[in-house]
Amino acid sequence: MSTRRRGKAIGAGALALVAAVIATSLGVAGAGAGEQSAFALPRAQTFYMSGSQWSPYGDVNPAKTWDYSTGTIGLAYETAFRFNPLTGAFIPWLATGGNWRTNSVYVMNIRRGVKFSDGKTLTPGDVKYSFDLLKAPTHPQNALWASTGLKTVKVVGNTVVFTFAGKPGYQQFDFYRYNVAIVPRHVFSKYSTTELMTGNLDADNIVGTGPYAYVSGASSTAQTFVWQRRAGWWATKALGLRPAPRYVVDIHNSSNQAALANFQAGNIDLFNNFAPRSAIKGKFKTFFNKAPYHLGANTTWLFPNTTKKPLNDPQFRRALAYSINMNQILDKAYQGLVDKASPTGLLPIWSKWVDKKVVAKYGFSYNLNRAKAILAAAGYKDTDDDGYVENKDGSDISLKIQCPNGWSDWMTSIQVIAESAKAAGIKITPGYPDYGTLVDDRGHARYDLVLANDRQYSNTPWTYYQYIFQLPILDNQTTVNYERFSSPKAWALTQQLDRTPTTNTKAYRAVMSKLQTTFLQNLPAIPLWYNGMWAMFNTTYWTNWPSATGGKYTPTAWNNYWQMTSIDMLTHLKPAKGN
Amino acid sequence: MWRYLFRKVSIYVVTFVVAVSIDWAIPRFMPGDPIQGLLSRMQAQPQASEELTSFYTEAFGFDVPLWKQYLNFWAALFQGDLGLSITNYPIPVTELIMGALPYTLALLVPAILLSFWAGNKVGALAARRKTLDNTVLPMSYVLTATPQMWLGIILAWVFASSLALFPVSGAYGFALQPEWSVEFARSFLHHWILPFSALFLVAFGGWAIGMRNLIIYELEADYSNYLASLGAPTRLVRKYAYRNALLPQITGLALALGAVVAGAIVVEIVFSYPGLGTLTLNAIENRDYFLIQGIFLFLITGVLIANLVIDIAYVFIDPRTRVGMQGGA
Amino acid sequence: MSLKVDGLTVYYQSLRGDVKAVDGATFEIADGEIMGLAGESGCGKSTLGKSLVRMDARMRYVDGRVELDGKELPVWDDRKMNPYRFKHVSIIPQYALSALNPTRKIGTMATELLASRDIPLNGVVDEFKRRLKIVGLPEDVLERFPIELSGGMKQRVVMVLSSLLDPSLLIADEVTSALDVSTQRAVSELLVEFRDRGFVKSMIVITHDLSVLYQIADTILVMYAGKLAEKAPAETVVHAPAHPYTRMLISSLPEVGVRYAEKRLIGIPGRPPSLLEPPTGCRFKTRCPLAFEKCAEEPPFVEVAPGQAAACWKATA
Repeated sequence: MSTRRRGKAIGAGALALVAAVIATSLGVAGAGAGEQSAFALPRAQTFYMSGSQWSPYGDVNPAKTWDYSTGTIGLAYETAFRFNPLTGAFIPWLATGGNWRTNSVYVMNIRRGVKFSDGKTLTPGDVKYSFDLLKAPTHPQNALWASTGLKTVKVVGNTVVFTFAGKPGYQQFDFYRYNVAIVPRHVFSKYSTTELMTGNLDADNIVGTGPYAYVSGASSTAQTFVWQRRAGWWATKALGLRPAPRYVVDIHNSSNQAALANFQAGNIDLFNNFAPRSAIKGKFKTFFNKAPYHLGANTTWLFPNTTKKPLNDPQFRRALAYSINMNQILDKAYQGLVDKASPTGLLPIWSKWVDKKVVAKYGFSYNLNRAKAILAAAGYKDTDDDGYVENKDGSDISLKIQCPNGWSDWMTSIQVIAESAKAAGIKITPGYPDYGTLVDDRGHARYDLVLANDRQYSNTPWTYYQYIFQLPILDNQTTVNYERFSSPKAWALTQQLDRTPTTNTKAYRAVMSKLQTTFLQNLPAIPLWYNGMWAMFNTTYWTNWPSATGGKYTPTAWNNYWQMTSIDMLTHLKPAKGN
Repeated sequence: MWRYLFRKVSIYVVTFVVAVSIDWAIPRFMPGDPIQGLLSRMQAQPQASEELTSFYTEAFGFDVPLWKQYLNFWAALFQGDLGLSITNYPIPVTELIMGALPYTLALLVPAILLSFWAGNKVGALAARRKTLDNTVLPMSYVLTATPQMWLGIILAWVFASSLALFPVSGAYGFALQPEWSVEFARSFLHHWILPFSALFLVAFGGWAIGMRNLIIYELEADYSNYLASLGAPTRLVRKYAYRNALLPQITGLALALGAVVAGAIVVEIVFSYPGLGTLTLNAIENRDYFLIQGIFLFLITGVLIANLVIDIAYVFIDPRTRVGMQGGA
Repeated sequence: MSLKVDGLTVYYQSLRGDVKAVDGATFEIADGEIMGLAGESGCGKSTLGKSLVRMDARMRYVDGRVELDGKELPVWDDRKMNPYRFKHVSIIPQYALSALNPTRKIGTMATELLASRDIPLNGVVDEFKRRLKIVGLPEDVLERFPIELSGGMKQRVVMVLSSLLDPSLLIADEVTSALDVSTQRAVSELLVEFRDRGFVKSMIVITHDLSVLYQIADTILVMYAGKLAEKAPAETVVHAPAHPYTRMLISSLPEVGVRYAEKRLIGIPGRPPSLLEPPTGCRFKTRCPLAFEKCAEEPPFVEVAPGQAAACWKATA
C-alpha cells in the first residue's frame, strides 16, 4: 500500500476507534432500551438523599453515632421515644409512654406487638439489654451510667424501670430516652464487647424494628447505601404509618459541588449539602419559601482561647463581640440563608427559656463605638498609633482566627470578623488550616480564635451549657469547653440544670436565667449564627415535603435526626403526580 | 546475565526497603494526633475519652516506642497485614485498598497502555507528514504540559456540567450496584470516559513528542539510508525505525509510571472516582496513619515492580543489551 | 556498454546557496572494468558515486544523463530509480560499519529486505551463505546481531549483501578507509574477486587512497573541486600523469621505507576552493605551478592520449 493511502487508513482507523468509544458511551446516556440489570432501582419508587455520609460506608454499629452509615438508627434501628425539636414534645415510639414514679425512679412502658425484622417479638428484656450495653466504659454513650446517677435498669412486667441514686440528671436522661438504639438481645449477645463498642458489626445481620432493611452498600468503596422498605413494620398497624419510598438510597459525598451537579441533574431528591442561594429555584424547594429558607440546626460559636491574654479578659471578649458585623456575615457568606444567633447562643426552640431582661442588661450586638468604648474602659489603648490596641502591659495584640480549609462559608465569615474587628482596633488575621490540624490544635489550646458548631438540636439546652462550661479541663479537650473556661460556679449551675426536670418550669426557668447571666457576663464563647439544617427538595418525583406551612418535620437525613422527626418526613411523603 | 539480574533485583530490594521506611515515617511526622481526631469526631463524652484513648492507643500499637513500632510494621508486612484503618476502625487497611484498587486500575492500565500505543503511532505518523507534524506537535506540547487534574476539571466542566453529555462524578449510576450486567457495564463506561481521557490525553502528548523525535532520528540513521539505497520500500524502513525508536520509549515508560500514578490519584479526586485517590485524600485529611502507609506502600510496590519488569524485559527485547550481557563476540 | 555518464551535475542545497559538488562529469566505464575514483576530501567523488544510486534529500539533480547497459537511469526521480537499486546498481556505503540494523539478526534483515523487494527467497539465501563463505565468514553470521561482529566482519557482510543480486554496477564508497592495512588488502582483493567471479559487472571504487587504487583499479578517475581532472589507466595515472594536480598528488605519496629526512614529502600548497562560489576558469589554477593566462578559461575534459583524458590547457598543448 502506498504510504499516503496507508497513512490515511491509519488515520481513519484511529478516528473510527475514537468515534466508536464516544458513541458507546453516549449511547449509555440513553440507556433506556436494552438489558436491564437485575439490580437497577426504579426511579419513581426510590428516594435518593445526599449530604450525610462523608466517610466511607461500612459501619452499621448503632453505638457509633458519629460514624454509622446513614439511616442505621432511624431506618433500621429505633429508639424508645422520639423527640420533636420544633415543639419540644416527646413522641412515644417503641415505648408507649413513661413517667417518674418518684423523683428518682422512672418507669417506661414498652409497646406490645412490635416485631424485629427477623420475626421475633420485641420484649422489655431487649430494652433493658440495650440500656445495659452503655455500662461498658468504652461505650460512646457511657455517660448515661457515669454522670446521670443511673444505678439499675430492671424489667418489671411490661415496663422497664430506671432507678437513680441521688438527684437524677433529668435532662441527660431525657436525651438518652430518644438516643439509645433498641437492639435485639438474641442477635447482639453474639458479638464480643470489643466489637460492640468499637467494631462495625455485620451489615447482613441487621435486625431492627425499623421500617427498612439493608440491601447493599456496606463496603468502604460503595457509592451508595441502599435500604428497602420491609413489610411488618409495627407502626403501620399501630399508627397507620407507612413510608412512601420503596427504596431509600443514601449517596456518598466527596464534595458539595459534585453533589449539587447531581442534584440539579435530577438524580437526588433530598439534598442536605450546603448550596448557594442561587440553587433554590424552580422545582427545588426548601422548608421556608423565603429567607432564611432553612431551619437552623446548631449554633456556630466563636471560641476564644481563654488561657491566653488578652482573651482571658471578659471585657476584651465583650468588646470583640460588639465588633462583629453579623449582618455583613449573613449577607456575604450566606446570602441570607442563615439567621443571626441570640446573644445567649440558645437555639430558637429554646427561645421560651431566654430571659429577656438578662439579655437586655448583659447582651450584645454589633456596635463599633461601644466596642471601642469597652476597650478603652478596660485599659486597652493604641499606644504606638498603628491602628491597633495593645495589651495592658504594652505588648502587641495580634490574634489568629481559624476555620477548616475548604469550608467556604466559614472562611468568608472569619474574614468578615477579622475586618470588622480591625475597625474596632483589634488586630485579627484569618487562617485556614486543614481540618485534622485544626481539631488537634483546638483540643490542645494551640489557637487564638476558632469557629465550631458541634452541638446540634437536642431536647435540652443542657447540652449547650455542657459544651461551654464542662469541667474538669483535660489535656486534650476533644469535644467540649474548647475555650478552657474554668468556672466551678457555672459548671455547678449546669449540673443543677441537669437535675431539674423540665416539667418543674419555675425552677427550670430560674436556673436558666442564672446560666444566661453568668454566660453573658463572661462571654466564654461568642455565639454567631444558626448554621442551617440544609435541605433542598427535588419535587419531580416526590411531593408533600416538610415545610413551614405544612408538615413541620426535620427535613434532614443527618445522623441523630431520624429519631427526631425525619422519619415523619418519609411517612408523609407522596409520589409526585403521574408517578 | 544472571549476575546482572541479581544486581538489578538487589538494587530494587534496597530501594524498596528505603522507600517503605520513608513511607512508614511520613505519616508519623505529620502534625496532628489521629486518635484525638477520631475521638473528637466521635463526640465522645469526656468520661469516655480517657478509656477510649487508651483502648485505641493499644489497638494501634502506639503504646510501644517508635523503633518497636517500626519493627512490628515490617513483621506485619511480611504476613500481608497492613494494619487497621484508624478512621474506619476496625476495617483492615488491606480491605479498603482492595476495594478501591480495581477502580484505580481500571483508569490506570488502559490509560497507560492506550496512550503509549496511540501516542507512539501518532508521533511516528507526525514524523513523516509535515501537515500532521504542524498540528500534532504543538498540541502534544500543550497536552503534556497540562496537569492531569486541571484537564480533568476542564473536561468535567465542559462535557459533564455544561453539555451534560457525561456524568460529573462517581464510577457508576446511583441506581446500580457493581455486578456483571450489560447495564452496569454501560454505566461504568459512561462514568469512566472523562477521568480516563484526562489521564490518556496528557500521557499521549508526551509519547507523541518523544516518538516523533526518535523516529526522525532513526530515519536519518545509517541503516535506514542503507536500506533505502538498496531500494527497500519505505514501509520496511519505517518498520525498522519504529521498532528501534520504541526501545527508548519503553525505558521512558518505566520512568513515566510514577508520574501517571500520581496523576491518576488527583484525577480520581476531581471526579470523586472511588479509587485509591479519594481514599488517599480521606486518609490524609483524617490522619489515618495506617491507611496512608498502606496506600503509599501499594503504590511504591506497584511502581517498583513495574519498573523491574520493564528493566528485565528490556534486556530481552534489545539485542544489544542482551548480547552485551552475555559478553558478546 | 555498461555505464555512460554525460554531463552529470549535482548540487547540494544549502541556506546560503547551492554547493556545486559535481559539475559536468562525463566518462564511461566498460563491462568488467574497475574504475577508481580518487581525489581530496570534498572534491565530489562520494557525491558522484551516491548520485548514481540514490540522491538524499540535500542533493539536487541539475543536469546530465546516465546510461546503464543501454538504458537511461532516471537518477533525478527517487521513485523511478527504485527498481534499479540493488538489482542493477548497488552501493557499499561509506558507513558500512553502521549500515546494519542493530536490533535485527543479519539473516532476518536480509530475508525481510529481499521479501520486501519481491525477490523469491529460495535460491538467494543459499547463494548468500555461499558468498559469505567465499569472503571468509562462517554461516552462523546470519544468526548473529551486528553488535557481535567486528568491523571487518561487518564490512564483508555489507559487501556480500550489496552485491548479492549481481548488479551491473557496484559502487564501493570508501570501503577501506576505516580499516587497518592487512584488512585493507583482504577487502581490496575481495572486490577484485567479486568482479572476477562475475558477481558484479563493473565497479566504481571511491577512495582517497591512490595506492589501493593502483593495486586493484583498471582505470583511475581523478576529481578536483567538483570537476573531473584526469582519467587514465592506473599505470598511466601513477607513472605518466598528464594533469598537474595528478602529478603533484602522486609525488605527495610517502614511500614505505624512506625517511622524511632523506626524501622530503612535497605537498600541494594551498587549499581547494569553496564550492559555493567556485572560481571561473580552471579550479586548480590558484595552486597550479603551471598556471598561465589561458587558465582563466575553463579547460575541457578531453582526450590527450589514447585512453587518457585530462582537463588542462598545458596537457593538451
